[in-house]
Amino acid sequence: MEIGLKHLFYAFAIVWALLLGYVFSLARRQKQLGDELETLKKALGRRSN
Amino acid sequence: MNESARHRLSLALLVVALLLIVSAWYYAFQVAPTERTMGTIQRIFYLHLPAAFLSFLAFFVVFVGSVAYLTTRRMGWDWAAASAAEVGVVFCAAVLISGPLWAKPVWGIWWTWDARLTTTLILFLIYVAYLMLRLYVTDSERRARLAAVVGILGFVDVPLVYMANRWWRTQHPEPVIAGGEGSGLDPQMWWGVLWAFAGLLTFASLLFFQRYRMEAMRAELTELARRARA
Repeated sequence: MEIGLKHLFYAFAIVWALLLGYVFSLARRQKQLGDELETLKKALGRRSN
Repeated sequence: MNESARHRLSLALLVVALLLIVSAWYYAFQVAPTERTMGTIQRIFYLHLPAAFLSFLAFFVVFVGSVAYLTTRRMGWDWAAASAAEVGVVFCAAVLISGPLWAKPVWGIWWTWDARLTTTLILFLIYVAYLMLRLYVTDSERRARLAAVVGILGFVDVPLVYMANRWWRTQHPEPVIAGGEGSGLDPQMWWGVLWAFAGLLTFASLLFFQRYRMEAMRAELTELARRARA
């Protein structure tokens, strides 16, 4: 593969991997927060009943 | 906005962003002309430049959010600043990755401590420090106040990055956009870069809204935990 082409491929591939990694990290953190919120709401609901 | 409407809007933004990005890069590779001196490696430009603009824009939002927070003390502004900082750091990292991969075949080196490259690295480190500060301060109001100060002071580096290759003679090429005499872009290259910018901007907006939602959830969690302890 031509050297320029190799670097071009790496640039696009690494940046896409970075963006995808960030999307997964956001999704994981959001799910974790959602689960914690749900648990706390249930606990508070039980306490008020 | 309810949960299902929010979900639909996010999905729509994602579809639009992906369509724009894929078509822009197809245009960049198949329609835009090959640059005369650098050849095909110059097409990194359609990733590097929009990512750089997006990181500037994100840090501008941090600046606006920080000023607005210190003026109004409304937490929503702090959440916006924090969200923009995280998205900005991701795009700034994209610039710092794609830059050396472009530099190596063209300059023969991965990195040099010239004004444009160094100020960009400093910009990245400032906003990483901003995010770390947010992690270590637990009191939300104190965190927002301190982060706002760093967000405002850190923004000083953005015009420095922009002007670096205008003020100083650097290894980095002279600007092709809004540069001096003899600068400029082929109209087809212009379209490619604007198209890619539109796609990445839509994607960045989606990331920003999702990150902002996380801040809102975290605030709700803190409030519920406080009630649970009471």
